[in-house]
Amino acid sequence: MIAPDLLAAVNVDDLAERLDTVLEHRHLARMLDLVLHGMEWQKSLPPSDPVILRPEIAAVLGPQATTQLCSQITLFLGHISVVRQLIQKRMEAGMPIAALSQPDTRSFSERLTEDPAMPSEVFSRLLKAIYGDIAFLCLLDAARRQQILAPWLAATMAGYVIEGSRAHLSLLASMPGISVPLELIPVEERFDVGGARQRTAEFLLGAQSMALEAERRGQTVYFPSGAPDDD
Amino acid sequence: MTTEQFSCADGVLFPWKDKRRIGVIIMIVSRRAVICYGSTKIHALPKILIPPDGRYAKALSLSQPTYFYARNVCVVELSALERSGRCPPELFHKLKLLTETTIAQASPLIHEVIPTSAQEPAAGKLHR
Repeated sequence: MIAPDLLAAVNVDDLAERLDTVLEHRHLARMLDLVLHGMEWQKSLPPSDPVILRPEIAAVLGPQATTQLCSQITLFLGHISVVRQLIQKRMEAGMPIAALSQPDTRSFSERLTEDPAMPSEVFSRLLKAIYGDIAFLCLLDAARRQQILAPWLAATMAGYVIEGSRAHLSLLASMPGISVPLELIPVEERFDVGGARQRTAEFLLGAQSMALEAERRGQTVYFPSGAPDDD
Repeated sequence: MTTEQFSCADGVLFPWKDKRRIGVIIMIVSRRAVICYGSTKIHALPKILIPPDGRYAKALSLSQPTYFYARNVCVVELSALERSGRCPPELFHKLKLLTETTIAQASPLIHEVIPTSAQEPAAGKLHR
């Protein structure tokens, strides 16, 4: 239902608008949670070959977008390897599957925007990773329905998948305790977690200070930098 | 973080003088919202332009070119707000980045890392 609607987009702007709408769907977020952390992952690790490069996906993408994806095989293999490493560690440590034990009923939009402590470096990477996941599911659905995509749509979807993998790897590479080869994510694509937390802490304190000042002044509307006089 | 019927990234209208201004909720603190508000006037300052014919304008119910400036941050009581739309996450991220420094500058100086709830990434994204 969601994939056919996205794949009915008539141009890039239309697709982006449809994606905005999808990010507000609570049931989509929950469904992806279950796919990501589903029961089968408790029993086995994900396959070691990139599903995205399978022939049935190539058949709906066409030659140009397939070439685009194939050029990123090192990225996809690296992504799979890192995710397998992460899941293996969690399974060995007997860590619970959060999505099953503590269901999150919020939409992706709500998850991203409602946590003021989320550093912008994390936000931007998670957003791209979510776009990538949605694009990937759309391509699986297109393959199931044998819907041949227009070249622009195939290229855009392939781009989302590639950027999503890169963003997720970049996020993981920046986290302590997770090993991602520099060939996959160079130093300049990683971020300093400590610095990001420091800036976020300053942002949170600033927002709280502004709100406290508004309350102290008893003002319904308070402009810390002075009231607008432009229009 | 949801307070009453408002959430971060909500597009809102709030009263100022004899008109209603448009803004986006960046953060909610108790009964107040920290808002990045829009202007129709152009200045040579850091800003984000939302053209009236794009998806962002549609999402926020904007009918004319609207500029969001880094300095244009205000705090409004939730009871004075009216919801006017929903800011897409991509734009919300840009607005938060734009106003982050302005908001942080309101804080007392801090020199130590304060632990936050952030951020261990989800265990597994889709294996593609």
